[in-house]
Amino acid sequence: MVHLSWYLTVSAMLFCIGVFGFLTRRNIIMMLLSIELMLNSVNLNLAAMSHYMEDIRGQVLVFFIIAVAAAEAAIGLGIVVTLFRNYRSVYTEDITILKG
Amino acid sequence: MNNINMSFDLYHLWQVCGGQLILIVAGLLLILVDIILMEKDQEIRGRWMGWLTVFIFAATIGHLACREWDLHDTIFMNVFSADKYSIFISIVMTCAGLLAAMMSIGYLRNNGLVRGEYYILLVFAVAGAIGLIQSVDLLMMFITLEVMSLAIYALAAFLKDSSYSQEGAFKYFLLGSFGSALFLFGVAIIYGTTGTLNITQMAQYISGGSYSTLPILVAFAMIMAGFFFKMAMVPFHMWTPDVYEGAPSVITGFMATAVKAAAFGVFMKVLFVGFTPILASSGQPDFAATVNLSALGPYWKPVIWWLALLSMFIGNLIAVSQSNIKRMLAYSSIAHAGYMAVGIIAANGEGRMGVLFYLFAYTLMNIGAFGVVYLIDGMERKAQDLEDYRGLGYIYPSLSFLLSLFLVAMAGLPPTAGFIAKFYVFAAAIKEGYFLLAALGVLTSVIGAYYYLRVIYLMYMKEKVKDVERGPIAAPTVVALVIAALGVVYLGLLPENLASVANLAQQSLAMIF
Amino acid sequence: MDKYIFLIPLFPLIGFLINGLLGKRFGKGIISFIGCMTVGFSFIVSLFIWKYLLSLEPGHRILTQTLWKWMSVGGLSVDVSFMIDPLSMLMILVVTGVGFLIHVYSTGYMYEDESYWRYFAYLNMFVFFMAMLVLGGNYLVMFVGWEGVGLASYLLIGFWYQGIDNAVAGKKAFVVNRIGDFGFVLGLFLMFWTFGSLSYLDVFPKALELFEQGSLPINSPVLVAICLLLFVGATGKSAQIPLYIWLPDAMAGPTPVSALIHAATMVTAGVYMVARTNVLYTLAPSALLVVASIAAATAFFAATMGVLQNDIKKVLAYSTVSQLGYMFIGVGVTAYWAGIFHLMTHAFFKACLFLCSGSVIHAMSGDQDMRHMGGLAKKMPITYITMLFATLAISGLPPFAGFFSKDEILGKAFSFPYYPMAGKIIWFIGTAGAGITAFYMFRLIFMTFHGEFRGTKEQEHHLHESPANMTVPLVILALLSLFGGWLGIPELIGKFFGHVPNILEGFLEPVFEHSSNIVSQFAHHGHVAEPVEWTLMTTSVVVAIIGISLAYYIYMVHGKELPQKLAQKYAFHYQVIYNKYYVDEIYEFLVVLPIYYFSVFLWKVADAFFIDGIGVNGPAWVVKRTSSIVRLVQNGYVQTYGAFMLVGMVTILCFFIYR
Repeated sequence: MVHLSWYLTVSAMLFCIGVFGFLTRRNIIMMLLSIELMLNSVNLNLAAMSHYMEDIRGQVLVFFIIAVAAAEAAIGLGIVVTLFRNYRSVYTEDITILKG
Repeated sequence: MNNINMSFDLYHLWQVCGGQLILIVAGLLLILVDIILMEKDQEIRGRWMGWLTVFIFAATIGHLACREWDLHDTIFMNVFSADKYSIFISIVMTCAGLLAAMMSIGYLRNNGLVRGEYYILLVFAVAGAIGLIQSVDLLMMFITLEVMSLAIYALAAFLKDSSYSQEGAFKYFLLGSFGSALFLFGVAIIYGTTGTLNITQMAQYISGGSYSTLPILVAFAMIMAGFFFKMAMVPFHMWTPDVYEGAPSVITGFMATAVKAAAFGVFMKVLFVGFTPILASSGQPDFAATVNLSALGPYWKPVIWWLALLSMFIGNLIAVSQSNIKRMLAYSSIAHAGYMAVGIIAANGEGRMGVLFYLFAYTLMNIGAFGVVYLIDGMERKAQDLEDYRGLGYIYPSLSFLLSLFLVAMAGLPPTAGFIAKFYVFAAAIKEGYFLLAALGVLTSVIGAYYYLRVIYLMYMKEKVKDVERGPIAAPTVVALVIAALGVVYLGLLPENLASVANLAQQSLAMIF
Repeated sequence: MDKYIFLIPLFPLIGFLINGLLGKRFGKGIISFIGCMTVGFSFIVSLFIWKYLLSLEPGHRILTQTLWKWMSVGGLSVDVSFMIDPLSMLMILVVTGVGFLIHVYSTGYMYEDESYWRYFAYLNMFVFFMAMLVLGGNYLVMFVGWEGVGLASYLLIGFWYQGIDNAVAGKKAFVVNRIGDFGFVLGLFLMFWTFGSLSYLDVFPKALELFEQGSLPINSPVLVAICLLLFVGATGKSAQIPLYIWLPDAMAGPTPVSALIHAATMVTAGVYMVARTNVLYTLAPSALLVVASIAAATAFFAATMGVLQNDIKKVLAYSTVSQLGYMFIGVGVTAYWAGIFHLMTHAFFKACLFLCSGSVIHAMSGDQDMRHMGGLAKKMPITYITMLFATLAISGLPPFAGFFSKDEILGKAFSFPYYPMAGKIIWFIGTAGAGITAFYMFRLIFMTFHGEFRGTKEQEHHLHESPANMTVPLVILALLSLFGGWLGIPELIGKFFGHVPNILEGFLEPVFEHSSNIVSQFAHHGHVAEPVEWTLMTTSVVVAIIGISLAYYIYMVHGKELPQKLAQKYAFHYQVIYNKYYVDEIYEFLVVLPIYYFSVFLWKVADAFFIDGIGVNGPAWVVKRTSSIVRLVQNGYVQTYGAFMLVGMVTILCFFIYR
């Protein structure tokens, strides 16, 4: 049986990769994916913990997170589309009118 | 897991979550109404949707104030609770929604944006916010937080052809999701460590002695970060000016008040119920509790001390050099977050009461200010520069007078609500010995007075350089502005009534199940 | 009678609301009627309350009225309440009385102005807030008035907003006052922290109680801090070093405003506040020393700066700063009643001076430069006589009002009970300043009213005496400048006239009773021998006469050739130096030149550079610079924002772990 700490380590690594991706990628789509990665690391975490604690609520939470992530992606992509219409770009360095 | 009673009692649900239910059902009905009105004239459609929304919010406020105020109950195994604390903040947020809806009728018409989904999103945003403040469970907090946020992301992006609006919404969305992910990771750790997601059960675990273990601290920091983002505390504030500048003016006013109220409300709940519970040693609720029995106090207090100070300083400081009035007000809202945080640090009854009072007062003056801003603007971004405000006092005397009143209130001058609110939080902090923080806070408000009054100075003591033509004034907007103005003055002269209600509300925080 | 206190602020408030909201549609007659009568009613109510107050036993002369409970937080409960005791009674009589006269005067002075209604609305608003300040029963109500009068003053300074300088001056006044308020608010916080209340009737007994128990020793740090912080507020509002700079600039407002706000009432709020807080100040002698020293410095420096001004209102502005210094010397050397006495007489003669100058400016069609005036005495006799009365009063010649009050202050300074040595120095500086005051005030009189007219032909043609609604207030104020001082005749003189009592000291005594007890308990012997007192009195009169003679000598005897030399700025100073007799040259070398250059130095270097530049514009500049640098962090890149969030979170985490 795989020990819990393995899951947690993988999950923490995934989360860090997500954070790293979010802060370094200039493409908005990639940033959205990074956020998905972060959320999924949480899902992994919760599922593993739920399994080891023999408590169902963690897995319930995972379902909710998946649903919320889907809604988030929908809104996010919608914003990206209109953004692209206005800026003709999906790179964050082009989208810096608002500053200061 | 004491009583697993899964029987679904609809009446009980209506009792506890009535406000949310009204809003969700009404929001769904609004979709239908919007479809029915699709064929009709823009003008009629906008008016119907707008007035229906206003009615829905008014009904919700009535329901919350009359039916739920005396309630003290929970539902779904302690997932939602109805207590005076949640109801108070729910009323504040619904008031923000109401005022915003009243202003939106005119705003959308002026900008040629009459579309039904605007109101629907507004209703769902408030529903999410009420759910957020009512939830006692971290899972439900996340879901309702997202319900609120997603609606607001869409509202912030509502000006489809404005690059500013799109850019603001995009930044808000990306950073908001990032913040939620941080928050969620913290929640997961809490779950893994304490085996529960309910903040009262979490409190029992933490006050059982294992408060300073590494996982709890990591989770605490991450959950705090998630809330600080929504509260717009420095250094989690950087989205604020961009989003506030870009978003439609009325929505900016709504975001700056309702979202802030929700974030502050739920943060205080998590803090004072979950991490540093204000329960007396006997396990009985302690109403006037100033001593936090949990030893986490020394951990979070310095953090909020610094963040409050930074927020007050940086918010006020950068606001000085702004030329766009919406952006200036955005920085001012960061500073206000700092002032409110001073009330949290006090961690006593007066401090919490002060924060609640502050939220209400801030809602009135901020939405009022944005209402005037949109009227003077005419069309979005037509006249938002401070330079456009030159000499306006003589062209539009009543609008300028109202704006002056709201700005004076934000500057914290007596006898307005803003002064009383600042006084409450600072007095509470001083009572606990935070004299230095209060002194620095007052210093920052000296800087603050500079830029607020600069607008008044421009309006009354400069000659106009450019013809500014305000948009047509809609009656509901006028009513909303007058309500806000009267509220600001009333709360400045007779704050005791609201303060005693807020005090009851903060006391019930000690009794959440 | 205490039920009616609220009427005093209520009437001007009504006037403000009516004129402010509807005034645009009214005729000038109605506006003037509302504006003047509301203040007049307040004055009448004050008179009735005064009469009632006098009918009470001296020890029980405190009337309070609580309107409603304002707020309560952290054990602190603040009411919207009023308190009338002899001190606030005197103040409110001055405020409403002088205020009424100035309202009447304004109906003449401002008649041509197109924003007539706005002017009266602001003026009524000012009286309302001033009444709140004076009548407030606790420091928070006082603070409301304190902020409110600042706002009114800001609006009135910038009243003629078309002139950019005016608006800038208004802003300067505002910024300086905010700096002062910062100190004031902190003082209130500290007071609340120490005594748990902000009400006069709680704080002072509590302080005395703690003092008697020994838990609050004399000069305890917290008390000194409270007093100094409050004094910072007072330096802002009452134009003391280093925050006085806004007052000369505030002269950009209409002249009646300068008379009411920037001479008679608002600027004396700081003196009132210190006198009100006398118990705490008496318990903190080191704070008193600071107050008295700053006051003496202000009194002297401002007087020397007055010497150089050619703008008639600027002369009066610097003289106001200087006279405020004398008032603070009074309250600073624990002679609280003397400070208030001078406040009252100053309100009379300075209001009179400003209104006279307004009358002159009116006649000169808005020209304020004294170098263009001269010989106006023949054209405007009433203005001349009344102004002469007030000038004699400010110069401190008996039997005019200023003599009694200034002499009382200087006499008390000489015998400063806590610090006798410092007291002597303050007396010396104050007396020297009094001489300079007499000099520049008579310079003003001679340049304006005597000699030949130096303005244009057109101006000369227009010269006229002002209408009755302007001259009547002048006459009343001039008479008050003469007789007002007789309320406080010192014992020394009084006994020659069959023991005339010192009415004012007796009236104010209950307010300062505790302070005098403490002083007599702790301080050195405070009374000076009678011959010394006579000497002091004679000295100040002699010094004043020297000042006047000097002014006469320079501006009357030598001033004949002045008109030809006017082309060159300050020409007469050089002319005086090079053309005259040997004796003159020595005399001028020793007296005039040092004062002249000292004055130039202060004005140009100290004032313009250090205080204006570093004191006020400096912080504003620093804030703006920092602001424009800090905002660069907000660079628009969403990654930067995210990075800040992450850094913030990691910092919190590190703090949690390595705490």
